[in-house]
Amino acid sequence: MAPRPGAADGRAVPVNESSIQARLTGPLTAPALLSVIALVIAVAAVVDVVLRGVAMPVVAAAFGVTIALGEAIRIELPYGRDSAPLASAAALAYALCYSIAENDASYGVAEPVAITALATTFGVSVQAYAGRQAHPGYLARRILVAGFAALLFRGWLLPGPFAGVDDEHGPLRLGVVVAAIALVAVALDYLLASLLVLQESAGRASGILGSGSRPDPAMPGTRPRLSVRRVLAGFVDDCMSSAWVCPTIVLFAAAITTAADPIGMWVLPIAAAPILVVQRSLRRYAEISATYHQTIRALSRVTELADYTEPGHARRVCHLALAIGRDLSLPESLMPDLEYAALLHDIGQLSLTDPIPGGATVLIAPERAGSIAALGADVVRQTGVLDRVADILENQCSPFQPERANEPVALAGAIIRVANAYDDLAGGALDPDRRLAAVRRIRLGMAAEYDPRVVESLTRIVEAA
Amino acid sequence: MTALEFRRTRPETPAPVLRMFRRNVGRREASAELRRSAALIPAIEPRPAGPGGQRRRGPVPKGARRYIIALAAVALTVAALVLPNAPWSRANVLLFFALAALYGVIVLAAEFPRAGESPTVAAAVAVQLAALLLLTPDVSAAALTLGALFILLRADISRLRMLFVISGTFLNPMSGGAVHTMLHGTRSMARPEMPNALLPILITSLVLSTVPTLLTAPVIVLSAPARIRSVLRDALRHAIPRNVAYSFVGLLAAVLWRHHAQVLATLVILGPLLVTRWAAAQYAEQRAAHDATVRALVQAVEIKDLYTRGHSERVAKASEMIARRLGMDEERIGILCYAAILHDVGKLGVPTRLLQKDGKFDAAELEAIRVHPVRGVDVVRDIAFLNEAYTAILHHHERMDGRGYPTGLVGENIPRFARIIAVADAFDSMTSTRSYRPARSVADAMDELRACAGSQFDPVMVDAMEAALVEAQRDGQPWLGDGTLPEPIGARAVIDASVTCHDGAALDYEAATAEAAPSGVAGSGVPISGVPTSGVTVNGTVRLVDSGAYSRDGYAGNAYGSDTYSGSNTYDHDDPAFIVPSPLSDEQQAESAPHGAAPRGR
Repeated sequence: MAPRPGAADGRAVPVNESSIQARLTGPLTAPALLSVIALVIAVAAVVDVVLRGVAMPVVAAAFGVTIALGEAIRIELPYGRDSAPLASAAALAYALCYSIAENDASYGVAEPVAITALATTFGVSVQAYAGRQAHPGYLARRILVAGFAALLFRGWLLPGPFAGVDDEHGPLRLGVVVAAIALVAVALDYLLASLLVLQESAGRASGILGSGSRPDPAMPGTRPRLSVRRVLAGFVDDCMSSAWVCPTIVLFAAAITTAADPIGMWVLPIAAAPILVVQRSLRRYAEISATYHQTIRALSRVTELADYTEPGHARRVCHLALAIGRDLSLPESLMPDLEYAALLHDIGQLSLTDPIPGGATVLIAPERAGSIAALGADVVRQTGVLDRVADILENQCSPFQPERANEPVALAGAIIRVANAYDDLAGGALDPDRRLAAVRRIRLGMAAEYDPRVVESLTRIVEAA
Repeated sequence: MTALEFRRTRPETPAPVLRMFRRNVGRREASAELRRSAALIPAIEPRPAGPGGQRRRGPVPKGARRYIIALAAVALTVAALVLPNAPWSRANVLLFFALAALYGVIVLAAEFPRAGESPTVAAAVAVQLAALLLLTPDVSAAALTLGALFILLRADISRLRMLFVISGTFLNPMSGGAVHTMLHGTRSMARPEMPNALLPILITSLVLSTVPTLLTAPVIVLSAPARIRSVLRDALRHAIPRNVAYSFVGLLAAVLWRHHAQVLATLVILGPLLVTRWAAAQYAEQRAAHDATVRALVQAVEIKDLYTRGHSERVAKASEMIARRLGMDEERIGILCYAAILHDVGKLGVPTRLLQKDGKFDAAELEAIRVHPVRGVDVVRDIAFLNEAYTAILHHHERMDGRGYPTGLVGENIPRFARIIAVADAFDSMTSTRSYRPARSVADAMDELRACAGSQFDPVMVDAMEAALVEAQRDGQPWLGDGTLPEPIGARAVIDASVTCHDGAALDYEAATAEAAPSGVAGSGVPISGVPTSGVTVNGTVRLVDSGAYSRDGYAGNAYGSDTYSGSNTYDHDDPAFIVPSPLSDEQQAESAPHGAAPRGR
């Protein structure tokens, strides 16, 4: 774990130390590790099924088709979270079935894991073929969750403590156990997912400087920030932001398991229909959310189009601001606002009759920059829904004030101030000298103009790139 | 009535559940308020449609009121005949009250003003199906009606609507149950004969989903006849299939209940309802945020061009009016409105100096103006859902005769959205004040559009615009432009006549104007009426139109006569009078036009 960025010790982290760290943590990323484990489990399960044969072929086929279908229509919820409620519920139910059409579900641990792995791979491939790649580690997550539930229930509880429970109260007790396991499994799924998303966003932030298209795998300052605290915080955020999806998956897994006893595999189409309706409404939400994001990005380009700013300026500032924000562990909930504020930070310039040369607000008088920022904040405030973004924009021109330094909005404003100054000075330059010169110039204004923590973070990011 | 009094006398101390519910209602109202204040484009907010979703527009008409009362009378009669003979002794008491409570929760949580969009209708159908699969039709209708009585606790619903919901709740399971019994559907959910039991259940669910729409249809016919088509279309395409699919959760719950998993059965009905509601609320919130953001940012763009404040929004409004008149469906109208509001975003690429210039334009300057639709597409290219709107933004300055820009498309080759926006755009710029001329009256602007129909505008769109304006005027929402419209002296006489007359007369008026408007063929023969009166003649193709309509209607001498109008050549690319020459030579046009000329980009 890297040292936390000190409040204002005034020195950059030595370059060689961070690169050593990057080399140490580099190849063993969380998605890679999880994928390896999942691959081993899946291969073992498939080999086991191939050697012993499928115990209940009809059941395997029904669940396999449902899971593959559910994966093929997977959606991406806002904040980069994949969601396939039908596939999740079906996979869990497959692992947790105890009786199907009044016969004992006689298959073992390996069968549901193998079928889930194969069906999920198929569904993910269909989506990939249609042009939507899954997040790295997604497949691994699915296999691990199915494996966990199957192992716990079929490997231990069903043959052990619950062996032969089939009397009048059997279904009730089994139902409670099934629901509990499903709940734990879904929680595990989310935990793995938030781990993966964090890892991925850290990786994405590394491709920001200069080229933009070339990902830079050894990016210190972002990767080492993956801590238990952040994973847990992301987990809680996720549960809140898709609050009702998780319990519904658990409910349907339990319902399919219980109803499979009287009506057999007909339960799958019956349960699938309402889940598909639910998924449709989730998809509408995901689409409008993506559209909103795209619209802000698109409209952030109007200043470039009108020759007020350099081409690509808003996007570069946005990438850099997000990288600094992650580096400084800004709360996840502030990140979208930081992103929008960074994209729109020059919108106030539209009110100028004559563009500032090069759009470089860093080179003009502070009062003028301040009034432009205030105009921009007014525009954004008019939307009525982006108040926090407007607050950040108002703060982007105020010099560093130590007494306000810990307010998130002030810190976000300071981040945009630094990112903007850096991009005004360095532009999209790939030349290291020019970048370092820009950093040096910003460092001159540290503590008076710029927040020292932010400048430290910028220095780390630029030196590493 | 006692329940109503209870509501009135004890508003401060509701039961905890009720309080929680009220809080929700309050939040919803707040977000609805936000939506209303933020909705730049009325069309983007989907119109309430579907079962029980008629628009609240003043008082309910007498006919609809009588219909609802008659419906209640029918329900009461059926209840009086059926309920005394119902097999009460064999009914499961726990099940009876569980169903009533479940239905009560749904009724309390329903979002009535937008019932068509809300998932609660689907959940109600699911509970009804579960009831029919577990109890006899008469007993389940009684249980559900008992639950529906909870609606009396709601303060935000008119009594008439309460009556409608309650009687509908009784009649719907009765009809569904009748069908189920007729089909010999099974009610033994513990070990149902699965493939055989499914068909009757499916048909029952279809009946349960369709009857509410049928019951609502007369209300809509009597209160807003123009909406009936779109309501029925929406029901057929979206609401009924969705409700049928969703109602299977009722079957699942019935199976679980018979299989001693009562708690799970109750939860499994409510779970999806919560997710769907949550997603719908998030959707509405994001959509409102999106609309508000687009509006505010477009306003920021309009800062640059002083005299076009509010132009984009009004063009969106006028485009919506045209599209509605053409019977376009809601989703496409929404996209059209986004396209309309963003149509001039590329004007940012035009230097301010040019936008405010007085005097002649040289070729380079005209080139700079011509490029703004292409620049606009550059901005919105990454907004995925606007796909259909790109071409509308790109081609909104094309002309029917192929002399427009940027590609010189001809006639039907111009995308439909672009033809709509072109008319709306010209109409609004004529009815707004510009620095060099005052606003022209609505009738005057319509004359101008009609004069240019066929050559510049699609006559179909011009007719639709006219009809929509007449309709809006009749509804008491006349076009106000940017608020500087002149008193419509001549126009008022015409349009007022149609307003005060009965429907027949209004139709006559529409027919007359349709006749007066030149058809596409006739119009194209005379591309521009009148003679160019002032000097913008670049390459011999730019002409200002001094519409013959002016002198014809005796407007020539007044403030917006030809004197003030033609004396200026200030750039106003939206004005039909201002034609930017096509860069293509005539032969090139002849070549490219038949192919429908794909945009060439920059």
